Amino acid sequence: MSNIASFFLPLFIVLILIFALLKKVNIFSAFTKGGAKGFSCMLSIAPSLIALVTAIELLSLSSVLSAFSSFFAPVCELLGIPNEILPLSLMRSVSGSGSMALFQNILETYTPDSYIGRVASVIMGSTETTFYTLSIYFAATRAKSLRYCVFCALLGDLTGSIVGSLLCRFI
Amino acid sequence: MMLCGLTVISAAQGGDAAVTVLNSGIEKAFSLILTLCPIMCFWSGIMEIAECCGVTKIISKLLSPVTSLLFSKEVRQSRAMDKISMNMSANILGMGNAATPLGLEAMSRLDALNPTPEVASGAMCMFIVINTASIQLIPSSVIALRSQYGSQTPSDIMLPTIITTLCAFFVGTMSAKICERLFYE
Repeated sequence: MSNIASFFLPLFIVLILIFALLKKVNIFSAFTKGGAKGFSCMLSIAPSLIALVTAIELLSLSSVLSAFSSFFAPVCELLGIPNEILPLSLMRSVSGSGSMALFQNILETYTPDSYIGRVASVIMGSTETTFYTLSIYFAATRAKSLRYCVFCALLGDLTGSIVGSLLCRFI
Repeated sequence: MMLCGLTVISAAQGGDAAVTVLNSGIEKAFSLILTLCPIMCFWSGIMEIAECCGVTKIISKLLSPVTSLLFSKEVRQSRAMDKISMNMSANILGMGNAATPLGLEAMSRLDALNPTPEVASGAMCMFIVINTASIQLIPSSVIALRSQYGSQTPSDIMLPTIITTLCAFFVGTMSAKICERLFYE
């Protein structure tokens, strides 16, 4: 199945190029024009990106997360999220590379086909690195107050963990 | 967040450890920018071509049944909508690298529409929640890792992953919709 996914990307680009040829668009000048826009966009978000990524890195390497996970353990037991999964589902929202390391650790200790391994896989596949997405996307705007956005995004993540843990009991 | 992380690390492991972590964080940010920059340029270029030949319009049409439920009429008629639909389709197809620059452009266009620039608009929050829930049809990297670690049935998790991601998407967007009502009316 993963082979099919790997074809999407090149196919997508080829299709766009064929379309452009059919419509007789000047491909190279359009490409460079768009590229310049991308570059200036990147430059404008770079300073806030540095601040936010550094902050997230500090958070994920500090012991705040493990303190959190021992605090939340009883709550999660009620919701049906296994204890072994908890650090991963917390880390998943904070750091992409951090959660990838935890995920590989889980695959090694519990094997991928065990219940724990399957839940971990579902959580990895179904949610994004929430804080990373939040920080780079809001870096592109002037907004200083995010209102309810963080809450809703984390609620989605929590739903992912609960539903994932539940579904893997049956499948 | 920085304050909290720094204090905890300094308290638990001493000041030196805190400085080391701080440096590694900065390094990570820089390498992220370095890797993201060419990707941004490339995909912005491709998307400019797609826009010139009308592919974006077709994709926006295809996604309109979903997007009309999530976004208000003003947003749907604005220039931001093209980028939003392209970002969503890139996410669905699992092209994270293409989704990020599109998402950034969509955000800056939503920013231009925002009557109160200091405070995030409802559409922005909705768009972020869509992205953090990130609907993905085929979780290819997870499947690849599973088979690498000796799984007998690496793609078994596909169905539960899709159901889970849809649930997360549904709860996230619904709560964003409800909060939007509460905050802006």
